[in-house]
Amino acid sequence: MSESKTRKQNRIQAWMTAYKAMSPADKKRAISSLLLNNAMYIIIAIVVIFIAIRVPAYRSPNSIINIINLTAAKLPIALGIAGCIVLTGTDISAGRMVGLAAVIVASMSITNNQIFPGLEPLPIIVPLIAAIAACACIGLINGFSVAKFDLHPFIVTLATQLITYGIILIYLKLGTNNGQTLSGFDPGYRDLVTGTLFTIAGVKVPMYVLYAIILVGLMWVIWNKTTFGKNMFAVGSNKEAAEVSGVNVHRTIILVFVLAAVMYALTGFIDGARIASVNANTGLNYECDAIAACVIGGVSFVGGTGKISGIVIGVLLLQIIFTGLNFLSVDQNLLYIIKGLIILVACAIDMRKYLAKK
Amino acid sequence: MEQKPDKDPAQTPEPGNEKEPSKFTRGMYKGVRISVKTLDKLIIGGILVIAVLIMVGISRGDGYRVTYDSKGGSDVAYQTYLYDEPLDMETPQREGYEFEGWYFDEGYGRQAFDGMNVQSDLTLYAKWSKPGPGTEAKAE
Repeated sequence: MSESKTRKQNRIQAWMTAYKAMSPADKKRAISSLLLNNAMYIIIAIVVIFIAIRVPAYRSPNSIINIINLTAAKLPIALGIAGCIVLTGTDISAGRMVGLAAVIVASMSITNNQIFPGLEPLPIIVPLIAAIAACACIGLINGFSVAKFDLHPFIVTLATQLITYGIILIYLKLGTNNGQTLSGFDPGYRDLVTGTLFTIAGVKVPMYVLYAIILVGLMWVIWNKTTFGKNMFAVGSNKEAAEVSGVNVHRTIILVFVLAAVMYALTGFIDGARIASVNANTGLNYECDAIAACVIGGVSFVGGTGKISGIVIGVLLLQIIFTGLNFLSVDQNLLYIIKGLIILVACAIDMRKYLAKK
Repeated sequence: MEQKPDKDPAQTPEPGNEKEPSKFTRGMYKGVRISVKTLDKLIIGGILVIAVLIMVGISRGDGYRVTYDSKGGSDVAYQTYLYDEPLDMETPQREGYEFEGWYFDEGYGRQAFDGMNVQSDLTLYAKWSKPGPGTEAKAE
């Protein structure tokens, strides 16, 4: 912890020393470069300060904890998708897999079961494992096709996205359910996810915040301390070179997609209990938010770069700004346009950083 | 001027070539040919458009509308809430029926309760049942 802090300080010091040694023209360029590279953070900071002044409720403990909770709920999917981006790929089937996991867990934890009539809520570990297994299978298909046939992940995950949606729709029609929204879950499942972890200032922090923290820690270890993690970055930055130096490229790619799928399953597991109802649209467009968060957090589309801390910051920043815009009751339809523009600008900044490095 | 397309720009550091379009050779940007100058314009332009949209959004923002579909009962007027404000619902009347609550969907899967925080536009549906012995509870 302190080591990274000193490293950060050194980086700032190095920048300052380099800055002092520059000619006036270079100084100007260095400043504009600094501003442009951090343009996204600057605009978010300005908007947040503006909202905090205009709507006092935005900075109430209730709202801050709400932001933290929503960040925690969206973290697992971002952690998963980030691996695919590091491999210079993407995964657009993520949101639907979240939906599939949520539907599977819900169908086995519902009290008045219409999908499997007469089935009492199963011990929560059973639906959880079923959801993880189902998503892992789809992740395996994604990973295998990308690794074996060198297909662009976009093609494969587009196909699996649609296939997964079809499976969700058919699954919801099983029994006498007829495609209806699933709700009324076993209290055991709801308590496990949304039960109180602790309370701050009278506001409840749910259990899934703890799970998100555990997953962040786990992913940090996987990314930074395991051979698999190092291989993932090697394959992401240069596949051929990684192959030459003895990395099992196929296995690495497949594992990244399967690991991502497991993360989506966990997101679905949390989301079902969090929202308290699950339907065919659960998880829709989640991948867009997750990808946006990753790019803002510095997981570059160039591949082979990215940090877990960046992903956490990316998800948090997006949540902070969009909760804020909700407080200002900005039209939901406009929010999609803003989100799209944020992705574009984030990509431009991402490219700029890469080009300016040279 | 022109760089060879198959050459990694990372290996040809030429100071002062920032205005020249560079071509990406890997990742999702593979084949993208763009200069730092163009990117600067894109970033500034994008940020400005985002700022304008946010301002437009703020000026037009008028809260979240909760609409009530009383399903044959007495009309309930829509309400406007600020984000995260607790829900406060009225009870409709219907001749010969008993009101069973407001629901988020017409399939009556999830019930709405007073005190729930409003976080988006909502439409709530009334659930009715026929009272009295011998008659099945019937939702319409």
